[in-house]
Amino acid sequence: MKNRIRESLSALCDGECDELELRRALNHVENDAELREQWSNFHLIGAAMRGESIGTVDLSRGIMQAIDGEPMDDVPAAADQVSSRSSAVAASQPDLVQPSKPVLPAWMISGSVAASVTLAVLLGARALTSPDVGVSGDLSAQPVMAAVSSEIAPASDTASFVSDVTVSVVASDTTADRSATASLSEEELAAAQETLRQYVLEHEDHGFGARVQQASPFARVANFGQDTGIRDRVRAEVQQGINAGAGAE
Amino acid sequence: MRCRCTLWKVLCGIALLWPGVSLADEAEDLLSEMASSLKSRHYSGLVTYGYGDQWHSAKIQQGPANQQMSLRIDYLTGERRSQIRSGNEVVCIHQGAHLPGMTPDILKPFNSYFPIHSDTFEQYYRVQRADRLDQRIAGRDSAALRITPTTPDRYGYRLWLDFETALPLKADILNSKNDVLQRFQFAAIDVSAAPAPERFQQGQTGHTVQLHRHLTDSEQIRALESEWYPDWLPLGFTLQRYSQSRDAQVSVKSERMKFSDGLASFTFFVDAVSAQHSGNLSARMSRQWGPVSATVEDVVHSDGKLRLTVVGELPPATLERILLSALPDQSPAMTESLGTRPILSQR
Repeated sequence: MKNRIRESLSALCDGECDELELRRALNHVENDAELREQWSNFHLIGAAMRGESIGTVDLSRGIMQAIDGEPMDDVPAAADQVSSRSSAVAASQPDLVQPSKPVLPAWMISGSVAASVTLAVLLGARALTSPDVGVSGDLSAQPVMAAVSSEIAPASDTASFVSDVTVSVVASDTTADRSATASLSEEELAAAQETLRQYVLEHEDHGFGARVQQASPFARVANFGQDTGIRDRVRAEVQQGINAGAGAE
Repeated sequence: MRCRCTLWKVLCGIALLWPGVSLADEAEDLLSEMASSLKSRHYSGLVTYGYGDQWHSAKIQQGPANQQMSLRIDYLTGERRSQIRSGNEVVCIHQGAHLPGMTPDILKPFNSYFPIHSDTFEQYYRVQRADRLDQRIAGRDSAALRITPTTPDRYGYRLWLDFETALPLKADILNSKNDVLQRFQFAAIDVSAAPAPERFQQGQTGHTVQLHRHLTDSEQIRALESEWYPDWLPLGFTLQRYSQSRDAQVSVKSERMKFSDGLASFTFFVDAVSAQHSGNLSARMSRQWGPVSATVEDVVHSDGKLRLTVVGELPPATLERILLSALPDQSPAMTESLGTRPILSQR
């Protein structure tokens, strides 16, 4: 019997089992520690073969919830790792979070199982995916802005180096409405990019190497802060702000 | 009989472990030899460097001049410019104003500042000989090394050293998936004749860039007193440089802190920013260029609105963690800024 379940698990990992087999396998996984370990191992092996980073996301619970029609927001393992953006959205829209019973009719739930399973796997894969793949493009090219909302969980030592990269900018208004989100205009985005670019170049300009715990050589532009223009720019901006404030009064 | 079996097992164990131990020793010896060669050997070569679709080339020459070893880099792509390093002095030669990043240190971190011996280096990097990756580069046989981080918070390296001189002929910076984030590779190199000493004399258009040889005690103290000093640093990272400037007229505070573990480095910037410039937004943004990532966030502080930026050759998540650890958690002004964001409690 266990061998059959193992075969089903293997097939499930490969995406080759039907719904009945899926439910049976996951029921056994839930009640059998050995099978749970086997299930985890299949995923680790799969991740290693695909050259992915190896994490410890347990997808089985998420898939079971998907089958049972529970909302995916309740999947703890995935939600923990899929970080800030989804949690921020959930926090701002509490109604989406907590229905205790399925609100869809059974036939619709059944029909959406495959899609939900796919979603769960995608969420898991996303949590396992590190953003720091090889990046091409020059400093002036249109970037992928990775905006992390203001509710990033503290990183732990063991499984901390996962972050959520999106192509949109989620920003919170810190002075008026904290939950409001806004997108940057093209000018603001360009200004932000240019600012980052300046900082990167300044970092590299001083990156003449270092020795660990020894006297460390450092290159320093003689008129530090002026060559890069950052200080002048900041001073000008502040002055502008002061002038604008005086004008408003 | 039992004694014989035990002895046999011990001998087998030694025989099995010996190649691994000797390869590790060989790798460390090669690395030390490289560090020595980078400081003492003369050479002249053409090197390509870059990442993605951004590739550049340069001519590098090293030789004795004025009783010390000097290095000259002529950048062959983009604007005409050169850099000469002699001892503690760096001279940049180019038309117009010096722009940040215009004279990059191509061989970094495998340049003449590379640490020869570090007691703590092995705690956060594992150096291994990778003889299967040995290859011919710039017409010369090379020995391959892997430098793997022991923690996932930084990048790894692959290095190919010239068999004869141990000079680095090629180097890759790799992420955890072994994607190459940046590479330099010599296309040609001549180690036979030293370049003429005149090559290391600066022209009239050159301007000097000063080198900070030591992190002074006062800099160290001022950095530690800074309220923005990160409370969490990746293992092995130590402060290398600190600077602070404050303009009394406009109350602009500006701080820079540079940290390194000997291979990777990052800089932490604190700058004042006007509310007008960034609107009413306080977003944390990250971006990555090859191995270099940057994370920036604006915060409200008693001094006004400040922009915190971390830039370095580290994964974005590491930079984010550093940035978060620098945020003070008790300031009323910060509480207003941060809203409900949890602050790292373990620092």
